[in-house]
Formats: sequence, structure tokens, C-alpha cells
Amino acid sequence: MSEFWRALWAPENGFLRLALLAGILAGVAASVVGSYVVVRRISYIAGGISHCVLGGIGAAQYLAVTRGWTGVDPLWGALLVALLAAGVIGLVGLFAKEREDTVIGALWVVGMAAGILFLAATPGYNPDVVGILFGNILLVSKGYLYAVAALDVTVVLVCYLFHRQFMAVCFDEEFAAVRGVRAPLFYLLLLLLTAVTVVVLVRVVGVVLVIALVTLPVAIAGHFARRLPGLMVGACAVSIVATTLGLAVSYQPDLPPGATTVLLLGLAYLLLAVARRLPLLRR
Amino acid sequence: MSVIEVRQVSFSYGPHRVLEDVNLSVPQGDFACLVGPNGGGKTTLLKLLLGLLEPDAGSIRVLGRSPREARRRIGYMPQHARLDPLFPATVLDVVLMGRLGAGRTLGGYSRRDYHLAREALHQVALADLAHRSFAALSGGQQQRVLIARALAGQPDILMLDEPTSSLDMSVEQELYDLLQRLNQRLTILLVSHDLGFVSQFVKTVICVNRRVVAHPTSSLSGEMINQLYGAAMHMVRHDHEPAGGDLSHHV
Repeated sequence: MSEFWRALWAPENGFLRLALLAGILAGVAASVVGSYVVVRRISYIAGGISHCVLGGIGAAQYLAVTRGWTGVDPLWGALLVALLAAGVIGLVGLFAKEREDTVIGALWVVGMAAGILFLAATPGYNPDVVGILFGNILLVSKGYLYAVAALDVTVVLVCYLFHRQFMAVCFDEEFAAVRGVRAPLFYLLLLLLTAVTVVVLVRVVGVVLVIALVTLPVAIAGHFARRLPGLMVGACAVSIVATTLGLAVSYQPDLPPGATTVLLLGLAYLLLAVARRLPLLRR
Repeated sequence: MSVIEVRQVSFSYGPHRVLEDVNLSVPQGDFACLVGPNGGGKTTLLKLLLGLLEPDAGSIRVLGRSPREARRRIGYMPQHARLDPLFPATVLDVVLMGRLGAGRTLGGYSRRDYHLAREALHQVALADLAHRSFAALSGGQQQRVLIARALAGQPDILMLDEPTSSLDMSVEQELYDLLQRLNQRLTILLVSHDLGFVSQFVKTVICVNRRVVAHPTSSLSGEMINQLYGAAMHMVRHDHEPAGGDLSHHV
């Protein structure tokens, strides 16, 4: 690990500093949105959206090669699909008589299958499937860093302006509606924010592990936080520590940093859950 | 003057008719209890009055307006069991939600919101627990917090859905004492399936089982209650749901 700290400040290792900064910034949006997702108990929806994203990435990649749509970052395809998925899931949940979890599950697998087919059908292209599925934080660019920063600002601003409405909708949708809050609107807005966040996070931890970065820091902070703002700040802190440790631990043995981070978070969550059952630590 | 006027209202969930040809008038200052078997339409009627559901036929006026227009003047307390017991919020956070829709839309609550929320907590005698975690309170305390949340919006009518479910006897008694005090200035409508206990406190009993009939409590007798439920009415407190027989309404 000490190797990492030395390497971090070496002039030639700009990519490492970029990676660390990207991880930290990504954690902010993930923690704020993730707090609402966890208390509203819609982690499964976030999971569905994030896996769907593979379809968008695949389609964008395919179009770039076969139709010459170069210069279109696959992430735009991912964004389009994620917003679409969020909209469909949201509207189904609000209005349709379908079983919501079945629809989510269907979107989840169809999105992934479409993505795999697109990638396979793209001629002469050797996709970094592992990178897409599990992320590659070490390859992030400066432009990506700006995108994450912009996402952070948007998420924090929207959540600051509408925190009361989001909280009321998460806690008691019916009561919020009686108080004149447009509950369906804010529920959809929350899903759309989740979608955008998920897409940006895909670079860091990949399609498969995104859901971990949205839920695990919140789950860990949830052991200590008594209020929603505290939960968000706590999750941010957990997320920053985890991303940094993930990079540091994975650096020397050359392990995938995204998976390492998620594993650290998962271990911390499990240990905490067990520790809280020991009489000594019980509140 | 009646604060609630329901005229020939029907409502169905899909093919399932829940309420049929409902007429109801609730006078100002009333303390009315909706009773009836599970699935009889009590909660549905409440949701219609709150504008959360739209009737298939008929008209509803609350405080002289449509439910959607009037509902900010209704203090609503939903069924407690529906809420997430682990939600990270303090007592004050929860009560403040009752101020939504009253002031500005963006940003945080105003000083006036905080003032009214604290006042509402004071009315339910929980002022000193304002900064406690909502999740850590007892069932009875949580119910009172939810009443405070309903009061924080300065309502004219209080509507409560099963406020005493999951409470033990002494706490339930306390809750009704509180509601009786509030009834001095508010019209109260509550849903309960525990008529035996409730009838000591309320002024009107509204029987809901697809059709709706209201009776002043003073005219209620044990024999009548038997007849209303079409089965032996359990005057025993906290018993099981009365059997769901049709209400016979030639009273």
C-alpha cells in the first residue's frame, strides 16, 4: 500500500491522481442519490437501470463502427438507455397493473443481452467487456472528471432545493400527496437522477458493480446516521475512504480497483452488521 | 353546517365494486368513526375524501370544495404499519413534513414551519422528544408524532386511518383523550374496526360495508350493533375483525 502513496505523487503518474479524484467525486453523487434509493427501498430499480446500460453502450459502439458515428462517446448511448429504463420503470410502477419487479427484471436482462449482441455484432472490434462490466477507473480522462463534477453539482443542487419533497415522498408518499406535493413527479425525478448517476459511475466500477457504490456506503453509514442529511454525508465519507483504499490496495498487486473497492465495502458492511450484534457494541 | 358532503358516490377497483351509492354528511365539530369489516371500503372512502382516489360516480365536497382543493386543510394520519420503521429521521423531521405545501417550494423549512411543528408536538405532549430518532420511539409515541404531523398543517379536519392498531389499552385510552381534546376545535373522522371501544368517545358511527350509513352514537345499543354487523359484535376490546356480513340498514 505504501507503494501506492509514493506512486500517487510521482509526476509521471497523473493518471493515478485523476483516478483517485474521479473516484472521490463519483462517490458524492452516488451517496446522495443512493441515500434516497436505500430509504425508499428501490435498490432493485437502481440495479435494473444500471444493467440496462450495457445495451446503450453496445448500441453506441455498434453504430460508431458500422454507421461511422464516431466521436459519439458510448456513454451517451448509456445515458439514453438509462433514462429510458428509468422512465419505463417509473411509469409502470405508478400507473400500470403489471408486477413492477417482473418488469424491472425483464428490462435488466434484456438490456444486458442486447448489449452483448451489439458488441458481438460490431465488426473488427475487440471490446473491453471486463472494463465495461467492472469498470476501469485508471483509464478516466480529464473530460470525464468534469462530467462527474457537473453531475455532483447537479445532484447536490436538485437535492438541496427539493430535499423536503424527496424526503416526504420517500417516507410517506400518500401523505406528501395530501400536502400538495406532486409525489409521482418527484418519484420520477428521483429515478432519472439515479439513471444519470448510474451512467457516470459505470466508468468507475462498471455496469455490474455500480449498484454496490450506490447502496453499500449508505448501508454502512445507516448504522450511525439518525437523519437523512447525516446519512448522505456519512455515505460520502465511507465512499471516499473505500475508493481510496480500493485504489491503494489494488495498486501493487495490479488488481482491478473497482472490484477491490466493492469488496472492501461489502466486507465492511458485513463486519459492521455482525459487530452490531455483539452485546458490547449495542447502542 | 356540514364540512363533508358525499352524494351518490360509487367506486370500484377494476370489476370489484367497493362503494356503492354512498351518501354522507359530516357536520362541523363532529367526531365520527368509520367502522366496518376489512375490505368493506373504510380506507377507500377516506382516500376518496382526501382526493387520493377519484369516484366513478357522484360528487364529494370537503369544506365546500373538491377534495383535491380542500385537502391541505385536512390533517391526515395514514395507517402506521405502512411506514418504514427504520427511516432515518428525527421526530421533528417527521412533524415538519406536515408543513409541506404551506410555504415556499424550494429549499428548507421556514422559521414559522419550525414554530408550528414544535407547537404541534407540544399539543401531543412530545415536545421534549423533538430531536429523538423517530425509529426509536414506542408505537404509541410514533402514533402521536403522526398526529402532530397532521396538526402541523393547521387543519380544519383531522382524518385518521386505524390510529389505534398495534397499541395497548392504556395507550389507546390516552390517544382518545387527546383526540377528544382536539375535537373541541377540529372535526375528526377516524377509521377503526374496534367499535366497542370507540363508541364511548365518538359522536357519530359511520358504518361502511359497500354501502354507508351514519348513526349518532346516542342511538346505538348493543342490539343495534349486533344487527349492523350481521353477526355477534365483539364488544370485547382488541378482538378479531367482526365477520364480514352485509350491513342490514333498516335501522
